[in-house]
Amino acid sequence: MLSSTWASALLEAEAKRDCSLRATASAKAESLESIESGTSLMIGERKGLWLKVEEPSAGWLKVTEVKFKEKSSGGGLSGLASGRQAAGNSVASSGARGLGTELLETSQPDFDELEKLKAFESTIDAEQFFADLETREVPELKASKRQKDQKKKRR
Amino acid sequence: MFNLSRRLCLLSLIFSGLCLALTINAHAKFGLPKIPKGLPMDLGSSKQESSSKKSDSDTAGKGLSLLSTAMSSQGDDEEIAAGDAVTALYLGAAPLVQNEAVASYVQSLGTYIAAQTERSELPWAFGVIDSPTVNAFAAPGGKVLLTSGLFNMLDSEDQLATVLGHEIAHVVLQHHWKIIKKQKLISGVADIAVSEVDAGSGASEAAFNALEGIIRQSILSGIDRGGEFEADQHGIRYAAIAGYNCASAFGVLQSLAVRAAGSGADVSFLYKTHPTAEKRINELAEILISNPSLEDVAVDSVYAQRILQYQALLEPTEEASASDSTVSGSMLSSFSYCGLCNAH
Repeated sequence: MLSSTWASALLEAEAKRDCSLRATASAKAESLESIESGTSLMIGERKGLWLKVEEPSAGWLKVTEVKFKEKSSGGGLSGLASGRQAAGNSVASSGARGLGTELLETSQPDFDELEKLKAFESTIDAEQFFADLETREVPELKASKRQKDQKKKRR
Repeated sequence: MFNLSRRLCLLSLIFSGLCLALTINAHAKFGLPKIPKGLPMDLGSSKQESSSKKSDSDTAGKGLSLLSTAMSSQGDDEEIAAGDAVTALYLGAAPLVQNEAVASYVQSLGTYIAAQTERSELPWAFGVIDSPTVNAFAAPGGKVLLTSGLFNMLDSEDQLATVLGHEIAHVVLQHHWKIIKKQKLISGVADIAVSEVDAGSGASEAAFNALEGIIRQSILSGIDRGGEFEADQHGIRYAAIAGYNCASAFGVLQSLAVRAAGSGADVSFLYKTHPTAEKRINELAEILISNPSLEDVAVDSVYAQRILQYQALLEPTEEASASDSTVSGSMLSSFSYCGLCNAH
């Protein structure tokens, strides 16, 4: 069932720069062929930071070498379906859209359920449960290219 | 009854819209000062001014920092009450799942990650709500809900850590609270009285009564897209600090993209209030390029597979899922309005 989900759900992307298609999900893996910047790709599964390329030929690229095709997200689902299975689903999506707004306008708050959430105490001993995790020092992350561009625009 | 409350809600929306128009008009006509964006920011700028006047900077600085502490803690109370009102509304649309083990799991992981942030002192609470749609919601003050549909979609505890990290980031950065607070100022809604806040459980009801129109509107529109990218960025950092694989966020987003490429019904509201998963993946890839050291912590934790045993507890039996689809299916599937965090 999982494999059929993936098989029917290739995502469109392109190569962000010139790179090498690898035989396995590793920078040390054999290079199968060179991929030019801008080459259209169909992406399937993912392993860590590596994406399985199904087309134009099979192999692996790093997530930093790939740009997914961006569809507009405004106005609900109509503009967002991507990949090959996009067609023919308009009935399901428009149905869900209408119901969502209606429920938002009519649903009433449940304060009893809120009190349940607030009063709930986990039965897990956290110290033991997370014992084998190593917490790390991670400095504030540097801005992405998009964030820098947006800052420039605002100036 | 429904019609009446719906009309009231619409009326209040129209009213707050009118207030907004009038306020903008007044600002244009009379050159009124701009509405302050939020206390911490304003105090910050006054601090800068005072430190430029060197002669009295010491005393002024001390006074301001005391003031800032007092005001921020009072602000926290109101933020928490408003957030609880938001949470009650979500819970009115879909209740908590009736499974103590799953509830404990999510509550413990969420609390553990929130403890790594600069707002660890908030009364954090994390819950799973019963809905097949895929979404998660952060409410001001530290309440976080995710749908059982999202919980069951995840592949690892590390992925859950990045989802919770995203929601926690919304709370830490006060994304929704800033919007509610701004709308409150614009519509001239009075602060929620401290006595009501002190009354404990009554505070959330008082907040709901005072803010209903604003809350419903803010849930429906979500925050701006830049805020969602920001929450992704801070969320993976929190997950990394806690010891989880920050890159597992790519997997969550890829699963969302695949869902959207299918019927898309279960992610429709999430997509209304968020950039597409493809855009978020591209943005995270850029963050990875800007911060190559993140790759060193892009390895699944030893607990990655632990989520599977909890997901098994929520898998509906054949019978239950059949009756779900007739009895509560329509109600629950429509819950997709609530924002990943609006989740928002």
